[in-house]
Amino acid sequence: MSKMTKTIAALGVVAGLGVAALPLSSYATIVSDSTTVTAQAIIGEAISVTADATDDTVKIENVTANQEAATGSTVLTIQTNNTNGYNVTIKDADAVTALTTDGADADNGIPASNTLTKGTKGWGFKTATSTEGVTVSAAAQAYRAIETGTQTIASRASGASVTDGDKIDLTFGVVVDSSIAAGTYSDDVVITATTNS
Amino acid sequence: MKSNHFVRKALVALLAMVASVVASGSFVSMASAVEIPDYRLQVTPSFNEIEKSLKPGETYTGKFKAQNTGSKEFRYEVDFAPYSIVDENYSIDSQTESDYTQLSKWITVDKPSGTIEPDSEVEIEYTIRVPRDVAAGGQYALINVKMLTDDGEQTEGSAFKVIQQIGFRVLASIDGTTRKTASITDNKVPGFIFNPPITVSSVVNNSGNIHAKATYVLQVFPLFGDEEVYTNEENPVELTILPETKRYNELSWDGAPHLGIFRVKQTVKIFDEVSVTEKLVFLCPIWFLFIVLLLIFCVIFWIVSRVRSRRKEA
Repeated sequence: MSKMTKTIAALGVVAGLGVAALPLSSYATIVSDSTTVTAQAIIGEAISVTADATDDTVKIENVTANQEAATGSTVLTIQTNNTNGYNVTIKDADAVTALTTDGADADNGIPASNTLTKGTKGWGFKTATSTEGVTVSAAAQAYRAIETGTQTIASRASGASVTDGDKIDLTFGVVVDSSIAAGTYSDDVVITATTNS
Repeated sequence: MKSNHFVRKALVALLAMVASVVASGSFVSMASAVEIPDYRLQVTPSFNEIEKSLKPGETYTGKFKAQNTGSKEFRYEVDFAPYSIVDENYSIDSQTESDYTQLSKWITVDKPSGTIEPDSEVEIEYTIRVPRDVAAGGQYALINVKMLTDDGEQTEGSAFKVIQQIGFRVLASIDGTTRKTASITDNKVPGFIFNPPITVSSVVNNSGNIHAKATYVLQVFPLFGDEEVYTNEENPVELTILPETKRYNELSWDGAPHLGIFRVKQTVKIFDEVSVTEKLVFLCPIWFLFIVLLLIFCVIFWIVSRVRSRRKEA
């Protein structure tokens, strides 16, 4: 192959790649007879929920008697393209709202409480958000006792969630006195996300 | 020899170009990478507002998808709950039963539990069997899809399992004698605002026994002229108002300037009821208002002192 052929071949490859790299809009300028093509995408409506806690379990270690509330938290992420927003509620998963340990009844557990005072026993939850457009009521920003019925923890009145999802901080706090025997105490709570109509 | 050198240079330039294109491509894909959580449940669509009225004794089927958009497999369970509203802000109550929440007892699904792999979905078909002796009117329920993950390790202390679920709303109406009555009990446009946006509010009361759509239109005109500076007339907000509930709603013009005088009109409609409120809205920062008041005070003080000094001279 002559030097000239090699040069032409190399230039041909460069030119070919160059043409391939041209944006489609460039072609439009050289087409004399154009047709309008309307691209239409029908986007389905959806909502998703996720929590950043490992295995969805929020663990609070080193809970000590007669101390300030020990806390643990998770971040809930809600994503929806529903233009009327959504509602997020919390409730206990069963009829027992106390934190209980294996083999013990609710009376010997840590009761759900609105006030977590040092030297007493109780647990509660509170919520916060920094996402614009998401509302967390003043009542929900202070510790509240879980109930068997639903309580609203956050809502968006209108518009879809932000691109990375609306973030809602859910914090649990526990205080115990010396009457609580050492061990692991737990409870299950249910978070429900529902779009607005 | 020279042409050989030229060919080599051309090939090197070509390789460099290809390498840079590949590198920039991978950079873009890295920058746009989205972190996928371990567990994420998605439901699509999130509701079904059944358009036709269901007849007593009729069977209706519908479906939705439960999707795993996380990176780990999870189990799911389906249960049913009443769907009602507790306040004007439309907070949800999925516990209290009423005449309008019997629907949750009439629903069954074909796949009440199962496992969903990452990047896959399950289509859930639900069947509503309307009893024969049911009264006419609205019926509302939630089909809750619960995401169940593996139990975490227990540690000394306290642990809270946060079970996440999505409530798929079903809104239905039972055929018969329905009552379509509603009123717009509040339609407020503020007269004075210190800071944008311009926000108007309203309350709609559905006193009937069937749900209905209320439409909300906000129009903003300049002080002089009829050419709208903002309107959502072509795409009005539509909200569903459940029977025997009141719903508060706000509309905003987020692009309002910090200073101006506008004619603001809010139109709210439900059934045949229409409420229109139009008002002049002064948009003025508090510091500007303070300066204007100070200026007025100074002018008055100057006039009074001039009058007094002239009287003394006389």
